[in-house]
Amino acid sequence: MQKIFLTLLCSLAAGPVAWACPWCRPRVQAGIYTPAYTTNVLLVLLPIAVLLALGVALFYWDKLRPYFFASYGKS
Amino acid sequence: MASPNTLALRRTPLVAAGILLGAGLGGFVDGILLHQILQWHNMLSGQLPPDTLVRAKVNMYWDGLFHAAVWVLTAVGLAMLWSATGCPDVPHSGRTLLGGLLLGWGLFNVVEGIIDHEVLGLHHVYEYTPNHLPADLGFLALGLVLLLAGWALVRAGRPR
Repeated sequence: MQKIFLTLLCSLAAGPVAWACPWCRPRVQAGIYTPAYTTNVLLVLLPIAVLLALGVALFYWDKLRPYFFASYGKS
Repeated sequence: MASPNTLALRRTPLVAAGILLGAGLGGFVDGILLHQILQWHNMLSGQLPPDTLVRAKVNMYWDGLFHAAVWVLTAVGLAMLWSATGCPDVPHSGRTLLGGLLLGWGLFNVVEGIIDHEVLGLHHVYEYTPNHLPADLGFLALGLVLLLAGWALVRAGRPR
């Protein structure tokens, strides 16, 4: 078992080395934090916000319904 | 004190919990399957094509934000399910919950498909073709099928 483990370890060590891209990070951050950042956040979150609002409204529908339909009963 | 048998049963809390859980899980299907495994699109790939490492990593950031948001959706749905199961007037119906889950997944496809794909053009379902419409319509059609199946299951759900 130990021999198998050591063989696997050695084969991994002998493989090609992967390096992180050192010059990418500043460019990536510049690409994320543009003047359109807030707009992009709002656009990405918009469908989720719509779904969340629908779900929460339905969950509390029994409590919300009287407020929505209160005016119909009064003339 | 009224027993569960004498209470008027209400299914909306269970359906609402199912919808949020289904929408969250549907979001994860989109994010994991279409963004990461198949790599058909990314969150902003319609505006920023991931054709360089830097652009791909910027898209990865927006995919991460999307995943964080659908995680919140799922967590809220789980909290609602916990709350609903504690109410004596909410029926313990597997069909109703499964129907809610399908409704949520379908709603996710329809809402996200209309807002992101058709109105805002943030991305399309399959970016690697000049004609985006067939895949976008397929995504919406799947959403409609899920909505119909979910609606049928919710209607078939009986209080137990």
